[in-house]
Amino acid sequence: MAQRVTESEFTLDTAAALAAAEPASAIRGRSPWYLAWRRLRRNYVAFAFLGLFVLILIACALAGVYARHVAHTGPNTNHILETVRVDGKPVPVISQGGYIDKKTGKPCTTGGSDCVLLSAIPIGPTWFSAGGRFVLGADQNGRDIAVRLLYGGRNSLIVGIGSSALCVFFAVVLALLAGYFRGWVDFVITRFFDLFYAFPVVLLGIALGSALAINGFHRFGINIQSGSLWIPTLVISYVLIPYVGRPLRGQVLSLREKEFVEAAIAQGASPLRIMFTDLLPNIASSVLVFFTLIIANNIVLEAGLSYLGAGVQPPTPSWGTLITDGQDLIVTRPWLALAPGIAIILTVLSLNVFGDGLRDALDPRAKVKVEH
Amino acid sequence: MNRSVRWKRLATAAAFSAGVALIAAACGGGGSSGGATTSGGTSTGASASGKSFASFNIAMDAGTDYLDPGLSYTVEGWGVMWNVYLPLIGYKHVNGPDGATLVPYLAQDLPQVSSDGKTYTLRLRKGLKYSDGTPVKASDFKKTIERDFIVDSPGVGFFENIVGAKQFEKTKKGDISGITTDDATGKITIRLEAPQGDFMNILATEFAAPVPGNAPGKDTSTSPLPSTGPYMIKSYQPNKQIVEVRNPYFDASKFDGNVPAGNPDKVTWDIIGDDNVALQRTISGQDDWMSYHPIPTDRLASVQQKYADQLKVFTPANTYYFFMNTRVPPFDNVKVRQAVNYAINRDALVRIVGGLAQPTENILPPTYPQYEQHNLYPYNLEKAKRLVAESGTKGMEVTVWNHERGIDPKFTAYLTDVLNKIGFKAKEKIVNAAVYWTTIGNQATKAQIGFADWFQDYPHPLDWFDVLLNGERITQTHNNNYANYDNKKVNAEIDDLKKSPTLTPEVNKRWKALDKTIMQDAPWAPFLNRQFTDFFSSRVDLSCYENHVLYEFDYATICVK
Amino acid sequence: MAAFFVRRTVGAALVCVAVTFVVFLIFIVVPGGDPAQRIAGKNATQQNIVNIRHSWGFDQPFYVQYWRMLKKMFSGTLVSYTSQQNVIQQIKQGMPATFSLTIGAGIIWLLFGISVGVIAAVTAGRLSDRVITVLALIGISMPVFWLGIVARYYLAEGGLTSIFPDGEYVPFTQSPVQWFWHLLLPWLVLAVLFIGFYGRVLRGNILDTINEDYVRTAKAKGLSRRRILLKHVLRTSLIPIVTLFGLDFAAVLGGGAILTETVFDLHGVGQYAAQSINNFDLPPIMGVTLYGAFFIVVFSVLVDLFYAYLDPRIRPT
Repeated sequence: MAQRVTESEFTLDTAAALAAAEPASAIRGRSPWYLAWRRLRRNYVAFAFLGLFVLILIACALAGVYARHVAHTGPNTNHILETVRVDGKPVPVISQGGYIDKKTGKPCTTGGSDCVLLSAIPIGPTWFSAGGRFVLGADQNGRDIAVRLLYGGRNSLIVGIGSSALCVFFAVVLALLAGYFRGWVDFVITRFFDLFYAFPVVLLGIALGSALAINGFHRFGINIQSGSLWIPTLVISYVLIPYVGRPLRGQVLSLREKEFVEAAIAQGASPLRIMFTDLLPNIASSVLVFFTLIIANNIVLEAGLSYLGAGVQPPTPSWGTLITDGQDLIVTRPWLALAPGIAIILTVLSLNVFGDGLRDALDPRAKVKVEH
Repeated sequence: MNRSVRWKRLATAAAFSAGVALIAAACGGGGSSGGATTSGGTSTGASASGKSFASFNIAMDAGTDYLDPGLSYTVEGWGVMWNVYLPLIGYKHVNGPDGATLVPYLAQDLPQVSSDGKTYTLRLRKGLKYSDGTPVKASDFKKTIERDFIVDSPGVGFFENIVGAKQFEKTKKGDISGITTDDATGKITIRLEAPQGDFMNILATEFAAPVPGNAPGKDTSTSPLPSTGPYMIKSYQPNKQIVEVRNPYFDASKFDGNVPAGNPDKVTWDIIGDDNVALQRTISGQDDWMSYHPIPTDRLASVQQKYADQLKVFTPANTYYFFMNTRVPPFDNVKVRQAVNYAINRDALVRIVGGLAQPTENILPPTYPQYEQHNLYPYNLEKAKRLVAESGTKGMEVTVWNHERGIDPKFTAYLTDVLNKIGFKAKEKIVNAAVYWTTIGNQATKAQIGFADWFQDYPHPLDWFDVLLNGERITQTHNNNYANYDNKKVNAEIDDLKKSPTLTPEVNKRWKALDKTIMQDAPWAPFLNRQFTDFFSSRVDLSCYENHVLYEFDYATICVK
Repeated sequence: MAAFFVRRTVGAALVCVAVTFVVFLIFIVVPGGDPAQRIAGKNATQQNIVNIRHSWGFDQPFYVQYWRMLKKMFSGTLVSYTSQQNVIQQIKQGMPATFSLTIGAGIIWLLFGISVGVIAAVTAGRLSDRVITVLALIGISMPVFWLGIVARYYLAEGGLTSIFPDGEYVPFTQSPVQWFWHLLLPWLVLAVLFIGFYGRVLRGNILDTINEDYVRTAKAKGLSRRRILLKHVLRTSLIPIVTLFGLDFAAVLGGGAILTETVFDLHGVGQYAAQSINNFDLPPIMGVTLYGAFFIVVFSVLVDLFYAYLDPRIRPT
């Protein structure tokens, strides 16, 4: 079960109520954004985790540099029959399998008492004792796991951030339309939300993901090749739109009742203008919080979909596909599955903590909470 | 046929393209080894008196498609049913290549073939009964074949050569005029449109195993049809359990020792999705045989260490290969195809599967008597690069096709890397296994190069060369000749060999030569023959172990300590 | 009230139909997805494929196919493409595992989620709150299948220990002890995520409520801290938790625990759904989608009713 984003976390507290809630005396001409920034600045934990996230981002962005200058290989380069010098001793990247004579190390036929059945197992983590090669070991194709982890992280982050941006964008547009026009527009959009609410997220995700993975998407003038990162990005953004759109719509609806909107309408401002210059800024802080937390959520969802074969398609590495690959070797080479999992946890954790801090900063009542 | 490859992550119900059939390797050529322990299978299966025991439990994978002999087309389905629904003629119940020998089952003798090779005559044994007590009639055979057409069986392609079959397939009315039967004498006559060398093997498939004439024209998996063999299916709950018990009307003495009486009184197949769960159940003795579940490579070493005596390794008849589409550049150039054959290091590919495989560059697997190793393409990357340069296709974009299940995508991950090394711009395209075969088998796809494997439907070279490489059988959709290999001389040779009803040494020699001729054109880059494991609980006595060339492990002849 | 029921029932039915239609569309437009070719197998003849196309109705317009599929579903005769297994029976076969998983995990995550939330709120700002918050955050940051894989290996397959049995669902009727024992690890793995999540939400709610006027009034009246907490604060704070729980519970019951079921090979409805999708086997996909949507809409109605019961100010609409 993927993490669910639930509206109750946001509806009551967040930005909609903020402007009104902030006591006038405290503002004294300063913008709520400035105040939020002041609060956030003091939250060192949130900043530490933001730092961690940025670090991960940088590391993944530098995947190519690491691959070329440290590991001396690419993410898809096979080294199956090669040997690597670990502490000066040659070690095969993948050991020989099949029936092997214990003494000579040569293939043998069964029958001899020294003839044992072995499986070919990739090299484990060398932890820099092999001059930067195979730091975290190799997979069954003799590919460098550390390199793939960084490239995989890049893809996971692209999918996570890209899908969140798309998701939040569409959710905001739909929420603004529904909340501003109300009536039948609202009715249609709400039904659309309801419809996708009735799907289990993962079920809809793998249905769309597997279907699109076959041949890509070539309709309505859009051309996406199968195997493209766009497919998981779009699928993930799509299935979560209602989870963001619903609470935002609620906020817009309540804002719509406020005098300043009525005033703008009376002045003859166009709906588009009202939506984007009057309403949007007022939900912007919620949107920002959503965006941060949705990235975290989507990285996890990507991993889940990839595990079920409906996310990022091989050979493109992603943290999800790396875990899947690693599962087959968890007994002998546990790091293959552990490393990408830990990478996901650190990334998601840093986003969650920072997202929390962001929300606390944008929500003036957070201060009260802590004091209690 | 593809073996229904169990997907590591999800126990898949039989992939649509799931397939059939395997050969035991205990002997085969080139050091292909039989088992972790010496295989002592000499069981004739004639009478297992004194060896019978109460129950045999099996941890089965989820690959069973149907338990209806007219519909099942998977290794698993046939493995369950081969001791349940007996064809007129069938395979010897022995270990090793001798298992490919055909013997009469329900028929008194092997068919008499007319001199033009177009008429087959058989006679049903007397006094045979189904497990519900009704007598087996000659006309049931005819109705069985007709039923295959009525239920849209995946096996109907095997019977199209029977006179009147094509007509019946179209209309589903009347009967198949080419089959005549006489219930009184038990005589069955089958007339063919053209001579067909593998027709006896086709008569030995489960699709041709007689079921009562009044069997419903739809899937009967969950209310199994009465059986003719030593066992009958008592119950089947899909994705859960199959229970077989002895057929009360079966009398092994009627079958001249060709069909075993069966040792276990009851056989239970627990359908388990997960390899590790199946392994645990077998180690703990909850189940006795881990069937179709490979031991995860990761755990092979520890299993071998602790339970070497309970482990068998066998090589079913299979070939894993990369096809190269001879109609699409750059692979329309023979130099490029040869280059790929030189460039792939088969030892590397063997390591990808954990070592449980034999490298090969032949089309036929080494378990065939028609196999002769040829060393046309020793690994030579430099030569490969040179050939690509000579062909003038350097720098071309190449898409490498594969499906995503099991270990198979790792082969193309390697191939793609190799193609990039010899001068192409290669990228992979991975397609869901459920639609992979129909996708690459569709000419519109123009798949350039990709992964394929083949497990035999029956032990006969025609099942390889005719099905996979006869240019006359290339079709627009659901094509099995992914390479679109169409060599007039080869086609003529296959067609000519098809006429020979028996596999004489003379004929075998021609097959051997054909394998080499084709590989000189290099429409494929065959790379390995996979080996599989059979693992048993400690109470099983493996001196009775028998692994059949086609049906693999024989649960009817196994015994316990 | 009657109007509420009529409206919600009609709405729910419409949503269910729409959901199945969306799924149907997704899979009917898949290129290369001609089921007739796949059913026919590798040895197919052209005529064979034509026959299959006809007898399965693939030659009909898609809306006719959709209608037929719905009809078959409700008459219980819908069979899968792959092996003609009865879809309804397969779903029924998976339900005990899915229900056992959901109910057990639900109890765990609700109990622990509430305890964690209350403890964190009561000790807000202190060390225990910090520790709980960190743990909760780590809990919700883990991909559930990864946790499952790792837990299986280290706790059941001898990575560290093998005290837990490895995967597999044992029916309650067969052995209640084994049933419990085999499900314990899946329950915990599935619950971890929700515990973290609920704990955090509840902590926030409690802290919000404590600052409400009526709580201050109660405090001023001199009511004991414990009494205030239990009688006033917790009651109000739990309302959103009930909503959450209802929806999450329904989603998991409806086959949403695909990943957990798959990792532990529980043969539940969710795993059946994943298998079917992977085989591009439309009839079971339709069946499971309808089944899942049913639980989600039913539970959302129940949640609304419960909401109204807890908070009389709200009338169900």
